[in-house]
Parts: sequence; C-alpha cells; structure tokens
Amino acid sequence: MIEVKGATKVYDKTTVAVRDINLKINKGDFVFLVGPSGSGKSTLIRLLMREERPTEGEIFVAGKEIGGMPDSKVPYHRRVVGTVFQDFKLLPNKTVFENIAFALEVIGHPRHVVESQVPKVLKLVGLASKGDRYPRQLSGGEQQRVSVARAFVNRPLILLADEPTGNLDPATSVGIMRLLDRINRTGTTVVMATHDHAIVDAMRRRVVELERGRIVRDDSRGVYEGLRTMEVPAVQANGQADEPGPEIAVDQPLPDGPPMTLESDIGTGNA
Amino acid sequence: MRAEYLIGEAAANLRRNLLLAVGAVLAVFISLLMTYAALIVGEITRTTTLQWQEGVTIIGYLHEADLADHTVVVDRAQSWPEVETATYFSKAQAYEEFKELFANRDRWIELVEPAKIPASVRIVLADTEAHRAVVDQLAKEPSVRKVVSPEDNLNDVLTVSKFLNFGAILLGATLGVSALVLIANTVRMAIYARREEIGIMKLVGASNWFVRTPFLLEGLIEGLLGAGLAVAVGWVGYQWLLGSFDIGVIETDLPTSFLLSRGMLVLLFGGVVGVLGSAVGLRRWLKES
Repeated sequence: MIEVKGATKVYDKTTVAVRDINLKINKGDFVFLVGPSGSGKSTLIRLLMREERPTEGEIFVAGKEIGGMPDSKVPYHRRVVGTVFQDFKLLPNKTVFENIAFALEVIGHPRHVVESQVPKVLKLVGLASKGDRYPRQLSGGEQQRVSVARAFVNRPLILLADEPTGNLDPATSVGIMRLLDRINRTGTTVVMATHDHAIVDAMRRRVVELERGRIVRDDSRGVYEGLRTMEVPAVQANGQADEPGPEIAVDQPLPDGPPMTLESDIGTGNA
Repeated sequence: MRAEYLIGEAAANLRRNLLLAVGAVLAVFISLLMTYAALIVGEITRTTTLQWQEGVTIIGYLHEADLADHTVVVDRAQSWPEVETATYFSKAQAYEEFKELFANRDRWIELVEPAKIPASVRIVLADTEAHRAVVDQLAKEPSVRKVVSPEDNLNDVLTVSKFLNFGAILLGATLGVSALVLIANTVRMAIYARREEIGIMKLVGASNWFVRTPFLLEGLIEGLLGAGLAVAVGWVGYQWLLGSFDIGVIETDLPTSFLLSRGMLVLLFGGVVGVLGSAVGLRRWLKES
C-alpha cells in the first residue's frame, strides 16, 4: 500500500528533515510513527500526503509514485488518502454536516451521495445527533471526530494522522483511538504520528521510531520506548518483533480483540 | 450542481468584497470608456478626412455679382504653374455635393436653397509646397469672395485628433493596467478570506481548476461588468453628443455595425483584463501546495 524507498527531504538545502527512509506498509496495517520533536515524523506524513516532495528517493502510494508526480495529479492522490491533524482544521462557519459534506462536494460528488454518506459517517464517529452544530459548540474530542469523519467520508485507502490526540486529554484521546482502530478494521491503512506513550503502549501495533530523520526501530507490535534494534542508518525490514519492555502493564493489547480498554492504561501514561 | 456551485462561489466572493470589487469594476469601466471613445473619435476623423481629401486642396468662393468673370478666374488660375487643375464648380454642382455630404440631414437640405450656395473655383495643386502662395494669389482675384483651404484645417484637425487619440489610448492603457492590478488585488483578498477553505479543499483532493475557477470567474465578471458599462455609456454618450451638437461638415454619423463591432472588442478586452488580473492574483498562491 505504501512503499518508501530511500526518501530524503532537505529543507533550504541545509536542514535534513528525513534521511534515506525505507519503509513498507501493507494494506490494513496500523502504524505508529514515534520519536522526539524534530525527528521527522511530520515530514514523513507530509511526504506521504504529498504536501512535500522528497529531495531524493521514491514514494509509492497505492501503486503510484507520488514524489515525482506532477502537481496536477496531486488532487487525485489526495482522494485516496484521508488526513487528520492536531488542530482539526474545521471550517468555523459551516456546521458539522456541512464540514463533512464539503469534502465530498469539492471533489464533485453529487448531492445524493453527500446526503447518504454524511449521515453514515456521522453515525460511525458517534455524532449522529450533532450534524447541525457548529464546531465551536463542540468539545475538542468531538471536533476531532468530525475531522476524522471528514477524512473518512470519501472511504480513502489510507488515513494519515499527525498527532491527532495532541490537543486532547487522555480520556478523550482514547475515544479517538477507538475510532481510528475501528476505521482500521474496515481495511483502511492507518499511519499515525504521535508523542503519546500511553496510546502506543496500549494499542500494541506496529511502531516505527524516528530519530534525527532516520528510522531507528521498526517493531511489529511495539511500544513507545522499545529497545533499539539499530542505532544508525536504519533500514529495517518490517515485521521484526522486538522484546517489548514496557513498564506499564498492558492489559489488553489488541490487534483484533473487541473494545479496547485503554482508559485504565491511559491514567498512568506519561503522555 | 458544479456550474451552479462555481458561479455561486464567485458571486459570494464579489459580495464579500463589494467595495474592492466596485473599485475594480470602475477602473475597468473608465479605462475601457477611454478606449472606446478613442476608437469612435478615430473613426470619425478617419471618415471625415477621407471625404475632404478627394483631390480638393483649395476652394475659392466666387461673388454672385460677376458671373461673367467666373470663367476668367478659372482660366487664370489654370495658367499658374503651381496649379495642376482649376475647375469651375457651379451652384448646381455645389448643391448636388451638399446633398451628398448631408444625405442624412434631410432638414438641412430642405432649408438650403440651391441658389444660396455659391459657385466656386476648385484648385488641385501640382506642387503642394506652393499651397500658401496659391491661396494668397487666389485671394487677390477680385471675383473671389473667400478662399478656403481645407488642408490647413485638415492638418490641424488631424494633429489634434492624433494627439487626443494617443493621449486617450495612453491613459486608457495606464488605467487598464491599474484595473488589472485592482482585479488581482480583489482576487487576492478573496483568496485570503477563504484560505482556510482552500487549504481544506486541497487537502481533500479538490482539483486545481475547481479551486481556481471561482476566482477566475470573479475576475471575468468584474472585467465584463466594467467593459459592459463602458460600452453602454460610450454608446449613449456618443448618441447624445450626436444629437446635441451638429459639427457641420464633420462626418459624425457612424454605422451601428461599427459601434457594435468595437463594442464587442471592448467587451472582449474587459474579459481578458479580468481573467488576466485574477490569474496574476492566483499566481503566487498556486505555487504553494
């Protein structure tokens, strides 16, 4: 679904944001990108959504190389990739329904599609009764749900999330993670950059750690601070499980299990 | 739903920035009014001078009293070395010419009696340099009442009209540039006002044309409104001037087809200015993804 080959991004000819990234993400994967600020997580997300072009290397998404793709093709790439951000990016003068409908309208979907899809996705994110509210009338968590709904209403193959819980309190974050997990189970590939130790540790999904622009770890069922499998230029084959060394007890790390019980974990998390 | 949406957005942009949009429309209007007026005045001078230049360079109107001397004057003028031809133009011929010149002024023709139009001698010069000398010499002839030399007036008219035309076009072009800049500015303001929306449109995969079209339409509407206003005011103004002042021998009556074709040209120009202006406004923003 996603294959990054030797991607390097240099800003202003001097600042290397990511260096020689090699990464393969299969369809239906749920991947956390972790690492300190400035490690290149956001740059990688921006490269995947083609907000930036790689300085070197190739990036394949859904079978298409997007790094060298002409600007005129980018809109079509964006239609297979949904994006969620820390700051929600909702339009304040549109209602919840209109915000989500907007995403369908501007890519040319006719009204009947809008009218059938938006209520469905509102129901999915648990805001079926709040379609006529304005973003300012919602809590942060609800706003982020709207944002997820907007990213998902077009049924993208991939959902990219850059710190989606960064502005939310731990309990609310759990709700968002449940939602992303649910979306992942529909077969949507999810790539999420995060600082949130507790979430990563509780979810026990694939963890790709970046440090100073390089991949330094890639665990298939990892935690936030795992053992480094390598220190320097890391080209890590995917799927190499690492011994997890979590201090936090993870009751129920579930790839497939029913409702996650993240709440209890989050309480002690050091996010 | 698409066309409806795009036009609706363009209209919303215009409404949101009404003051700026009005400024842009007025700039286009004034610029193109100058251009339209210059085109009309240019055509008037062209047709008028064409008519005047039909070989006649000097006319000597003759006294009624000494009809007998008329041929003498003509013969004498013909003998001057600077003169190529000197022709007698009788009252009857003059009346025919008058009717022809003012074919569309029936009232004038009714009012003028053929007998009141003087006979004249018409001189075509062999040597145009000698123009002045021939005029003076002809004026000394006793049976010549008055010498008229259209060329003098013609040259003045031509110089003045060329100068005015050039000035109008220069001013029109300058205002045209300012209109373009103003439109670029309104579009930029509209983009700025909607930058969040545009950001999200690009995020969810709206095509570039879908994002751009409302802004291009906005510029186009501003350009066409200004141009339409210019053509309307120019046309009405011209008709009004035509009705108010009869400028004698100047051929002021232009065919409607001319006004129409030049009006279309002006409209086209307004549209181009509008689209170009919004393209300039969009340019910087388009670079950013």
